[in-house]
Amino acid sequence: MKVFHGIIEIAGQMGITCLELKKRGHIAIGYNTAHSYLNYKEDVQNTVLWEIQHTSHHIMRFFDLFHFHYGVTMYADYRDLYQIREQGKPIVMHHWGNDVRLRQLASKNNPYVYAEDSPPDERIHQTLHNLSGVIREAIVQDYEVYSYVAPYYERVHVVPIAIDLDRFAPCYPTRECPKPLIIHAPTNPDFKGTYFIENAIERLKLRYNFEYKKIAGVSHQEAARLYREADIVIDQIRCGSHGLFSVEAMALGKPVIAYIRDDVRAKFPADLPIVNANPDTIYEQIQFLLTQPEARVALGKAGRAYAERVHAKEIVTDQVVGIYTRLMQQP
Amino acid sequence: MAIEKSMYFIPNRFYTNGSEMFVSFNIAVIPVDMIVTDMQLHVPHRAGSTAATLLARTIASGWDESIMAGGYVPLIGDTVMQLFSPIGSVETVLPLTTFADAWRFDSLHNHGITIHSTTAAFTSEQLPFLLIKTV
Repeated sequence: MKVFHGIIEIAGQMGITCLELKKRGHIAIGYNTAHSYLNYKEDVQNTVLWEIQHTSHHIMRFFDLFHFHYGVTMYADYRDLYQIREQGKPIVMHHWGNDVRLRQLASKNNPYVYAEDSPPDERIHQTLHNLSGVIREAIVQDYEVYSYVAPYYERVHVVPIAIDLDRFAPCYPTRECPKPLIIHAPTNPDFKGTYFIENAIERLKLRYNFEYKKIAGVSHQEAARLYREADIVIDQIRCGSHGLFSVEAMALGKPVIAYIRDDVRAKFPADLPIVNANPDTIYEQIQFLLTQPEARVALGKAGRAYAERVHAKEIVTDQVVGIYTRLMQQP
Repeated sequence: MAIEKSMYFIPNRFYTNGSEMFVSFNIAVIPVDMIVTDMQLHVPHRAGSTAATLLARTIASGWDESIMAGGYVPLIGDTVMQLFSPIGSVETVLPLTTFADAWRFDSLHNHGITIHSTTAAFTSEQLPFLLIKTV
């Protein structure tokens, strides 16, 4: 199978999937036009939109299946989708969150959510309406994102974030730790709730002996190295679900704090070992982990086991290949 | 320990008239800290093709697909290799590792290669691709 991925790399997911597809004998190319300080360069071709459009006639002829991400295709008017459909080749759209997080719906389900980085609701509606007019099936990472796109597509698959566990050897916290290190990595502080986290940290510093590090502005590779030192990891506490940071921290064997909405949590595997905290409860939950070293170790071990079972790239790619196989068999 | 990885590239320019193929690839996007250890051009053949001899040569001047369709032919350079393709073969693989550095780091002068077949082996529906191994 020849598989196209493009054209925006989100959290290294295109690259991980392409790498695993190639290991299985498929031809897979991920084209990325979104370049950031995170510097994702593994198994994607970092290019520019002009180059993709310039070769789009070859791209559409060469590949058997098209896996787009983030609601974006090769052309803003989606002319490529119509041409691919005319050739009878399957297309799937992978939505990741900010591209489809409808503010009105998000706020209805979650009083803490920050969705100002998403396009206005009307534009999201129009985009989903246009895309689903050509694309029948979509993929999302969890049931928080599912709720925004489910009304539009014929079928929406929930496929967990993938991680290459070989890059994340576990490094569990120790029970005897006089000064635990708390790490938070706010790629987008408003979205992640950094203000609330740091407010709680300042108050906790008056009572407890610990260190706090904010990881920002470094490459993904460098950040992953810094995460290894952590005793407690705080991901995002406003969104209502966890992100890649939680998955990487679990893979490293770290206890993780994030906010998972009750209705979303009910859809995750029951043993999701994330300590649930929102802006109203973040102080107490950090305090809990600071004062319970046994819990830190136990949650770290449970996190690693969970990442191995749910997020290993081999397991996730099995699900993706299953979707591809079914799409290829459809008339 | 460095891990070997595979990268696939499809053409940025491609033109064929059946017995002649002109193709180039933009591989300048390979990160500079990676080393290319192997580069192969996979050239698919028309189904049920007969035996053929393939002659690969460098292209020595600029070209694009639209002017080729109008009859333009770029300057042809040195012979790269000659290969025999047996009857019924579905593709020919050309080892091109020696071109990797020039195509990566001097892309302005990367005009690609042309392959001449003694039969009408090529079709515009079947694109060649590069398979590059890196560490």
